[in-house]
Amino acid sequence: MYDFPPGLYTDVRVEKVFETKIDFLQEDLKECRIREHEAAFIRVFDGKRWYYTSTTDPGRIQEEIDALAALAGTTGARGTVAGHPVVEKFPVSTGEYLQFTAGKSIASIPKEEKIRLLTDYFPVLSGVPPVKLWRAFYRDKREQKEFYSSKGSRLIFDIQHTGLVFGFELARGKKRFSESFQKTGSYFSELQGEKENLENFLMQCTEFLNHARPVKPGKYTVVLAPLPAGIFAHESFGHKSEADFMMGDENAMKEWAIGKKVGAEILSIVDDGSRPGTGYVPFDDEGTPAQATYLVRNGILTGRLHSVATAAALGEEPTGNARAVGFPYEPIVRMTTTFILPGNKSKEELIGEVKEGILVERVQHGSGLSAFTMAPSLAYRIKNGKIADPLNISVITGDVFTTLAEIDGLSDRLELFSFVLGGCGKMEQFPLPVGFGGPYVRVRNLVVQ
Amino acid sequence: MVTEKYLFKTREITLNVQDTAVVSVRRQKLSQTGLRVYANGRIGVAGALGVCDEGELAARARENLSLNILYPCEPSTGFMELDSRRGEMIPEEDFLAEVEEFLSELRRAQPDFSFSHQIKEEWSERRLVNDKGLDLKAQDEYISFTLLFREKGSLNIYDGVVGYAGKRYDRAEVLKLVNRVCTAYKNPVELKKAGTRPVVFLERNPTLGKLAKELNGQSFGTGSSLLTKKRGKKVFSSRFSLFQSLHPEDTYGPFFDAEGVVNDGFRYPLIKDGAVLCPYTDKTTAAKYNLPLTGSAVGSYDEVPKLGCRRLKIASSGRTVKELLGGEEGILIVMAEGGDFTPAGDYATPVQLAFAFDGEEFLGRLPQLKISGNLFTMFGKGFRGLSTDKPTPLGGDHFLVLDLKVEKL
Repeated sequence: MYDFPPGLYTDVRVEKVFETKIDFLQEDLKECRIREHEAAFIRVFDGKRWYYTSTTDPGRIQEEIDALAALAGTTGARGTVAGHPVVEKFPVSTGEYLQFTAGKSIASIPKEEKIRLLTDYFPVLSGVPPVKLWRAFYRDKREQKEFYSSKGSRLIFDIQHTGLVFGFELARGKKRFSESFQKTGSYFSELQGEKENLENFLMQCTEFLNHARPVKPGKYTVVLAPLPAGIFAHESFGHKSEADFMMGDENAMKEWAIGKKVGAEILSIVDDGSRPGTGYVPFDDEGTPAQATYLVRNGILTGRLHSVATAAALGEEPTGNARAVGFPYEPIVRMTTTFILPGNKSKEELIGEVKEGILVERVQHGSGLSAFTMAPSLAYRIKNGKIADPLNISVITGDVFTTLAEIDGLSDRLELFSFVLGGCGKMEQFPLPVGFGGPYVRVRNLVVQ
Repeated sequence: MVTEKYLFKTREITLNVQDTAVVSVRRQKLSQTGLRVYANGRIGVAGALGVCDEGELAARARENLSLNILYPCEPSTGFMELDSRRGEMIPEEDFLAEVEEFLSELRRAQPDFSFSHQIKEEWSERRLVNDKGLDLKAQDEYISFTLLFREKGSLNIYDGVVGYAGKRYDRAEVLKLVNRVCTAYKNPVELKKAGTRPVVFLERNPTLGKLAKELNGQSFGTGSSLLTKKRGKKVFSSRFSLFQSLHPEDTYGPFFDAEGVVNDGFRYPLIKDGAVLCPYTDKTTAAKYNLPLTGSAVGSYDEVPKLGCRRLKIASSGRTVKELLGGEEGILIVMAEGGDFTPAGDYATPVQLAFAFDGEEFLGRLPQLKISGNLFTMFGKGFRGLSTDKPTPLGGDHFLVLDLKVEKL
């Protein structure tokens, strides 16, 4: 296949991509773009440093390998790579794992059919008076990846996702509200039949626009619906589980020792690349197969997310989390589908036990450094165990570790979510498709503004 | 039928940094070509990566006219070429060695911190040309240091971020900036007084995001913007003026938008002396809602141009940050992630890292804070101004001073 230079570790990732982007602004078609390309990312490791390049011309891959090898030869420690712990950790993966071919590929669906899928929903959107502006989006992407390494990996696999999104801005008098509705899947057929759900969601948003009042700032017990719970898992703990952040810092490794108590006993968090959805990656971009990694089990730190390099540095095993956002970029440690495991209460029990609190159903975004934050869109007061009036909230915050310990209830049903617009950002690599979710999660003492 | 070609060429060298050392070297060279055809009020677009057959692209673009994507506007005309490169970056062949020297000095100066992330240089060329006489070409370059820092042993992924992006490099000046930040970080201080205080941001910060949302021409035209009925009215401080800018001093990249619109002096005023003049628009939005065309079309090489927010630039107040603080101690926001505005314009955010700041020195690290305010007051009576000075003389953002409510988290 390729002539890999001796004395160095080399791998090549070839990406064959088909993707569709269709945008409507109200009834006007604004974009219908189909992109198809084949490109490659090439890495060489000389035992000291990595050298990367990419090419949009598959015929030049060998030339690029040779150029990187020459660069490594002049600045690195060529000849020492055999037996290097990083190289030793690389799995040798072989085989063909193609699921989305022929009629199952979104490339087989004509663009006219994809446009029609969107336009069938338009009467729903244009019939709601407070909706002043709306947009409709269709996205799909099929990636066929090939991975070849100087250790002997010869791997072909594919991933695919598709989805539609309706974004809308509502206004009545001086009141404003914006939200979006989306449906995603691995196959085009999964996007049908959402009209009733869209109608119901628009009604909920209209009610919210009409009746929402500013929250009285303070500390509250907050029940997070599965979507915000997933964002919380991703932002507040998932990123901290990415092992690259502790590289080279022995104190951090001690602080993050496996076995440490990090949250309430009912809390378990998992990252799993084998779950269907936008976080699905049967193999990562270093050829490591997907697996379920328990980050937290019963409140105890039990695992973290690795690339080959971080696993070698920490004396652990790769977890299938080395991912690149596209062919110009190197794989770095990323999440796949991250979620909180369910508990044993019904949703009704969880809310029914709250005298005065807040239910957060949807959020615009979240973050999770030492403090986690969440900017709710749809949120409601809980009064005497019942969901009451809608609330406008700027931000909900809490110290991450205090908050993890304040979780005192989980509902009994797991919901996972996928997204075709946006994604996870890390370094310059954005947006990476990920999934997340959880049950309803009840947390005490969150600061609400 | 008018045929238009949109060419992107980019070359970059990126060094990934981990624990204050270079762990990888990435070189990239990318070319992208887009072909647009305009006919009978419609547009068709096609694009390709790398070397491509322009005849085949044009054929695909013509075929895409059948999609009936309306474009009831005239393609642009005119000639202009602007080379914004200054030749004051690190020569590509010296880049790795110079950055290794820089990091070596940083390790000696700040042994209690671990630095990670990226140092990069990029050169770009963008050209938009059509057979109606348009020929615009822009060349630019920048160097960026984006260093996440963590005090060794910290439980955080990172404790703060320090960086610089511009067209000049001077090792001593970049080190001076990083050292100022680290020195302040190591000196915890108390918040002297809660309440309404002068908060100092770098100019590009989340508060401008809300203005960008409300000044969107589509939202403005359809009535969903808070500013829809405010056109011509003074709703902000008379000291507050805002431009949309593609001026090479304000931003990196081409001086023209994705439709080939070039503004006088590369800027277009949106708010003047507190009065809303107009939202930002592309050709379609301007025509549809009878608004001035501000040249705010965006789009990748292979996309239909669409409305998007370019750089928003606040007019300088002609005073230094020290003068804007007026003898008060300011709260310099280094990292404030996760907050947002409500639809009505109320803003609140936690502040993960802030320094006490007298306008000259970073006096010390404040405890975690929360800040809050409202769009119309922060750029109204709470607007103190945009400074003439910057955190580093190398370039980058100016200081923006706003009065906001500040409390301990």
